[in-house]
Amino acid sequence: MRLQPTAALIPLLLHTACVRRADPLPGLPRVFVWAWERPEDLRWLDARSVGVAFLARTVCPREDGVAVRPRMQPLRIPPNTVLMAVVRVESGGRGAGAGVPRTACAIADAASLPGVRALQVDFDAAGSERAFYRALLQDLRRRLPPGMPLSITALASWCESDGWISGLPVAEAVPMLFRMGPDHYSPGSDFRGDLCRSSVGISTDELPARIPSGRRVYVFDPRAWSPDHLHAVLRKAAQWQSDF
Amino acid sequence: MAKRFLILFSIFITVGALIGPDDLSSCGPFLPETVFTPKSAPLDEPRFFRGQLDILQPQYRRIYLIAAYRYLAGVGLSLTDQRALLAKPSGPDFWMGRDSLAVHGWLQVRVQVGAPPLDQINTFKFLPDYANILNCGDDAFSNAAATLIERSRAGASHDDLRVWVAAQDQVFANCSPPEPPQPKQAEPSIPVPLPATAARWMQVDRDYQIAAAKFYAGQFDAAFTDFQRIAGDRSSPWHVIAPYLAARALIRKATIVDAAAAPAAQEQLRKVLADPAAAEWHASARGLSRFLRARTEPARALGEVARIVESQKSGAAAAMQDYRIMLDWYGNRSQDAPRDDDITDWIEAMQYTGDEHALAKWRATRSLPWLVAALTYADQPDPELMAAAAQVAENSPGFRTVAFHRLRLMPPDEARPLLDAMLLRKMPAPARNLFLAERMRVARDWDEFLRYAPRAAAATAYTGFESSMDPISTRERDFDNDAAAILGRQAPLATLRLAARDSSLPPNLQLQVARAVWVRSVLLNDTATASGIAPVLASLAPYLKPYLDGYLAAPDEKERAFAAAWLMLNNPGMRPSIDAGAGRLTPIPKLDYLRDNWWCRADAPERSINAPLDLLYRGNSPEAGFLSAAQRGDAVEEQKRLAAAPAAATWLARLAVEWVADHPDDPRAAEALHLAVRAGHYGCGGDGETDRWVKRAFRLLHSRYAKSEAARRTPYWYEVKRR
Repeated sequence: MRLQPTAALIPLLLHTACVRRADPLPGLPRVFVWAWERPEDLRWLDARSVGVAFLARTVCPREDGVAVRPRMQPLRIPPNTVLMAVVRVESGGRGAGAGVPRTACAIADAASLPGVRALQVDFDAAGSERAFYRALLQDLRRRLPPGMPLSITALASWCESDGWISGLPVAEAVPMLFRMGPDHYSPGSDFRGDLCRSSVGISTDELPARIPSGRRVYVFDPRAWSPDHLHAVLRKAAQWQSDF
Repeated sequence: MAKRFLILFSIFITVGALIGPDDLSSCGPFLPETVFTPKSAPLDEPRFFRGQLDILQPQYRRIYLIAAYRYLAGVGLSLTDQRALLAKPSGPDFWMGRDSLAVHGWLQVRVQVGAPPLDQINTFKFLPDYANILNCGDDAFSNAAATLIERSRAGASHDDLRVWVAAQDQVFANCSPPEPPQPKQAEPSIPVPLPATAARWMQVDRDYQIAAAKFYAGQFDAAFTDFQRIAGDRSSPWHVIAPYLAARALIRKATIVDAAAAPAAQEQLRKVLADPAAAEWHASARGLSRFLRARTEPARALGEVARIVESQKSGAAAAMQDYRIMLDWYGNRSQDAPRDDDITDWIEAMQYTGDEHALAKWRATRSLPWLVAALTYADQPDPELMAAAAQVAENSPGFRTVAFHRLRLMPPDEARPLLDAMLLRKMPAPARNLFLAERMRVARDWDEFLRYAPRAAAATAYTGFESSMDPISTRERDFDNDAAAILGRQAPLATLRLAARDSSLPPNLQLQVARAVWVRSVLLNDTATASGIAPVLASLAPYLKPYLDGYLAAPDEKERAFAAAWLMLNNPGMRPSIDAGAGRLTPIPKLDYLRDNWWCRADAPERSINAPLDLLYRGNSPEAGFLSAAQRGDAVEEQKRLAAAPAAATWLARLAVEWVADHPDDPRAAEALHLAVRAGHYGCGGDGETDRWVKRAFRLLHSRYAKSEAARRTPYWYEVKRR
């Protein structure tokens, strides 16, 4: 089954994207669904307009080496789906001990999976791990094919009061507007720094009232994805664009 | 040599066990929350698995609901099953690059015969659907190591053992072929058959290695054929296990290549189960049969295992875990499990859709599980249901759950004496807390309310991680959401101040209330109330006394206002709210570095009710029905005025700046300005005026007291995030 309304709503997102700064992920869909570690059958997706950012592996840098937990759950997608491999980094606050090259190598391996067009790193680096994370991204960038975009997820605070991500060798930093704990997002308000101004990460169960226009949208679903869930998000996304 | 192998192997196993990985986690900060009654798991698991269900929570994880059903249905759990459930068998370790004990043991043993050392063996295989499977399990490596040791003990030559290991290395080379798209697809690594001149033991082992290599390489049909051939060779030590491995080859084919192989796999498993000589593999074969059906015929498999879980008195723990996994399979896909079996229907009803269905089922069955489900979801006291509830005996595993809901549904006048009697009984804190909440809900006056408001903190859990609760052994009592909501929003100052002196409340709660009364009355310019509560507050928190004395001695409004601000600037834990749980973790005089200082908003926000309490409140807010209309009106008016109060940082900075401007020689002046700037930085956000006042405080400090210690400690001021 193909989700027809999806295609109808995408042009709105495309239109607003054109009037903003150059897309840091040119040619990639304006909407990505996050497919986390659960069986996901996304064969109903309209692959022309929606990409899939799937958890490919979890990398755990430790003082005695780097452990990797591969994806264990199937991901079914329609042909020609644009795939972004997401690598979650779990450091337990001890990331720096493992060494940058080995960690970067474990992450970079995910970029060679079939059909992967971009790589995203999901690492809630503690303050003490920021130097490690910066060096890790620099090393990782060198290991990736030059044309492969490198994206990172970002705590909202990194994109607001905290400018530490400025200058990171990444195409975008995706501010995560859900499960924010004590922080909160004022609907429609924008973030500091160019890296944070091209995309947002949201969740189907915590859709913000508004987001700044022209953003690539990454959507998390706490349950298995269904066409209804995605369509509800796309309807909302179309509203956000027309609000501005 | 064999002895040396055994010793070495033992050492490696022991050392490996000692250096196992510890827990891994990230994210944060995760703040501890007080748990009064856990919603997703019983606090005392052994007690629960013994059948002491207390007040059953519909949000309990499925394994607990499964156990609860068995007790409610009269099946119970054998001691063996209780132990098995408590042991929480862990699955395989799905981390690559962190060799399991078995892999580690094999890598160490093989070098003893001169094989070149290997760093690690990757045991995962990438599949076309982006999933990875654990292709080579621990058993394979343990078996290889044990066989090598055994062959050595039997007197095999060093050269033969090296040849044996080389072939085994070829077997394990198939565990994790390079992931596509690699420039060159790896060829399967299959050892060659040995010539007839080789020793017999080497020939039969080689046949087995060839079959295993084909299995790991994904040549399942060929592996099946080879294992069948080995099964027919009575001279092979592998002939007993071979039929079982033939079945596993077909199962692997059915689950990752072609589901049409499932019937053949089941047929092969039936042959294994029918063979008394293969008794060692029967338990595993039964489990595999269930696993295969769960993959290929999930509804049928669920029904089969549900019937075991419903009725098998002992030895049911493994089936219970399988059943839970099968239910999770549906849950992970957002699908409803087929509800053909009573237990599945009951669990689904408890978790999702209790209401009318549960009542209808109870009417049809008159069973205790359905009585519990019907009562859990009842919003009206159905007479027949209430009568049945009254008949449940005190020694029934459902007694407390049934009593809790029956009393919830009763008219308050009838429920009160029964609740009082219930509270005289001995019971664990999580259950007692809910009966206390139930009694507080029908309180007739303020005294009764205060008597039942404090609850024993049962455990601490980190936000979002109730699965790892730390039980609290101290007798600390706090407010839960319901009491905090009423004290926070519905009680006016005139009523609250009585609570601060009420001996029903432990000192920590008296302090919370006195603190809120004082801060609120200061913000509301109610000097009489603030002055009246000040001695109470000072007696509960002696470190505040010097500041409160200054407040009471102030000759006029201006000085009084600054004295209040001076107290709060020095005590960041001062706030107008009443917290649920342990509240602010940092002592009142200390600054909290996660910005839990002063207040985010001065009025009390609507508070969501936690799940166990929502069993009582059913989506509604707690209401103190005994408060008069006038008292409620006063509370509403106070809340309105508090809502209009400035942000804490604005209020504090403004009072500091205005006071210092008029009293530049006050010895507290420089410090007050420093603390005002600090309040901007570490307070809970600001409003449209905050930056202006904080900046003024900063400038005044550096212009008038440039050489002061306070100025030196204040090199910057910070823009404040608006709330």
